[in-house]
Amino acid sequence: MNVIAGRPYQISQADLRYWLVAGEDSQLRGIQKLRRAKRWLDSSTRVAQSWTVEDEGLKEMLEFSWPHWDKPFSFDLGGRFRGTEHGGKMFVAEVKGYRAEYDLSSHFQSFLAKCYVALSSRPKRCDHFMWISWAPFQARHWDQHPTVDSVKNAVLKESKRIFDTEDPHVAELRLDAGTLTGVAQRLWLITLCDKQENLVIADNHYRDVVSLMLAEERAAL
Amino acid sequence: MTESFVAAIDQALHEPEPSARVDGIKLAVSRQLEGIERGLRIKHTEYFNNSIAPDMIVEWPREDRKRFVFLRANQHPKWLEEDVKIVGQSHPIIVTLQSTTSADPENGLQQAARGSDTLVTDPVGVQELVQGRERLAVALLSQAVLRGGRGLLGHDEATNATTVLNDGFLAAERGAVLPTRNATALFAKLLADEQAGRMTRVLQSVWEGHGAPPADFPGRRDLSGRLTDNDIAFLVENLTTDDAHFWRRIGRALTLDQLSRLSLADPSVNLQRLVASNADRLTGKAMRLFHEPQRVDEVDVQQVPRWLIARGCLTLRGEDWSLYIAPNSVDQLPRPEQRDGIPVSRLRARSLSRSVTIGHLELTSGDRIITYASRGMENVINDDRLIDLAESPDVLIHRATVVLSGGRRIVCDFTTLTAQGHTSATFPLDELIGSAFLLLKDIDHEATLAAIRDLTTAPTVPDAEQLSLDLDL
Repeated sequence: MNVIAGRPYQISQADLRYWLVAGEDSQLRGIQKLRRAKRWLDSSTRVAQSWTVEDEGLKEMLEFSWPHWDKPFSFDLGGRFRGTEHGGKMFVAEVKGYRAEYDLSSHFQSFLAKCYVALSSRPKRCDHFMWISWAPFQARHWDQHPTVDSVKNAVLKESKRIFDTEDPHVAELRLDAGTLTGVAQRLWLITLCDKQENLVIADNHYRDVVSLMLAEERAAL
Repeated sequence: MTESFVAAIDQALHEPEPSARVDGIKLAVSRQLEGIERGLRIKHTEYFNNSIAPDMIVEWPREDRKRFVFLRANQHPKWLEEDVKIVGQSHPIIVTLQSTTSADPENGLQQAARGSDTLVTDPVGVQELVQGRERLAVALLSQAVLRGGRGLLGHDEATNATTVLNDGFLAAERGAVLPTRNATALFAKLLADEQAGRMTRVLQSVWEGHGAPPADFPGRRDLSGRLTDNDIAFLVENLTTDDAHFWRRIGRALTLDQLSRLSLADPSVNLQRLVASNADRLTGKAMRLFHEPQRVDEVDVQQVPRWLIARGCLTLRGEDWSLYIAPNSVDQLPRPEQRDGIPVSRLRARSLSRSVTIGHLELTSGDRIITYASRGMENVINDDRLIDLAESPDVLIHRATVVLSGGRRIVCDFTTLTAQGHTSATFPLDELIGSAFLLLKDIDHEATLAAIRDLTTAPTVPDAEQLSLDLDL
């Protein structure tokens, strides 16, 4: 037990993750990037509600269960859009804070398989799937990432946890074509850069922008 | 109530569907905030846990005031500190959904919150304030915190604040400096300037109102921030002083509108003092007299006439009558009962005995209406022709116009027992009561008349002395 500012202070795992010096792929950087991704999305003024896997009491809304695996998985971020185009639609997102490609490709495949499971089990929470990273991967094949084939390959790699089989032929027979298409159509691939994150509402416009956001809401009521 | 807020949040956090969870959380928070003060309006926005847009807006319609409330599911100090830096310019309240179990390791959050007049609190901190609101002083502090609280307010801070506050108010009654100073220091730390000034004024009023020397008060003297309805009610219900000058300072910025909104137990000794001490500057638009016998629950009340607040109006209560006074509009008065008017002789008697000048009359005789007036609005009550009319039993007066100093006029309508000025004119209570009321009602007993004068007479204070005593209340 530590004492800070005259009060007992229990260092939690979350604190440790935040405060320990960490490397490129540490959870610390991941949490900071998650925070920045949320703020960037919120600052677009097109997100009404959002929550992260770090939010106590809300992170359960990002959790899904593998059909044939005990442990659940979780997306990093989720919420609900506002506005005319996507208003009321829900999204989940995976946030990867790497500065370079590293193993993003395999993470993306895992993400696609999770999207397939999530859309199968709770479609109302999955109007959009966002992949948010600070580095691209397999850029020569970038246009192939959000396709049905890409989703299909990713799902087959997780056939044990999804279909309870490691036989690719059996697994392929159990694939749902509509869900594969649905995932591909719902995918967003967003590659951020540090400087771009600041291209949002300026501090001196904050009050005016928020007033407008609230005024639009009142007019809609 | 103690467990209910935390339990309600916990229950909402277990709602499986996101929309039900979000709605449940917002409802629990807004109900808790509504518990701090009546008359609040809380609007839920479409946003939740958003980095830039508030989850709800607290509004005080009477004060043209509002404050944003941001809900936060992550209570990590660094995250919250970043939040404060983004939204702090709107001086909001940030409520974390879980109790803040970890302190602020670098004190950065505390500094950021205080520096931007942002309040960062949690369910337990809010609950602590609501829980203690049965004590009036804590209720006032809770309301001040809602309007302008700043810095971190968790369980420990809220508990400490209520203790310091209660000690401070008790000490102010005794004129004890140290605990009173601790309370003023608490206000300066926990509240933004306006609310700190307001709470310090209330404490200063308690200090003086119990007889301690004004110059010894251990707090800032250059105070700003208007006293709210609740502050006035608190002082009226809790002070013991009969110093008319003190009550005059309390009422310096008081309006009849504000006074009419107060919910005060009847009889209230201090209400008599407050109104009487400010009778020359509390202004009303109209008044209406009703015949109202004593109610069963009034039988034990010895003091008549007396001031009370009834039906949304300041009311002068007599033995079998009530005079309601409206601050802004005749429509604020209870609906009138129709009468025939009064004989000329009776009006003459009232006017002559109370030295009230009447410049214009509207009389009826059967289906005819007679207007009787002097060109220069001189007093017509002694005119021979009017005296002749007084001998006709079928002539009744419907309206009489009272002429005040400077030519101002109040019209008394004897068919509704209502008196009001022309257009937007308003009149000090002492003038309304001392002229028009004495035409509307026969006051036969000199003792009653003397009591009414006492209830409408402000203290005479030389200007220089008034200035030296003036605390800008």
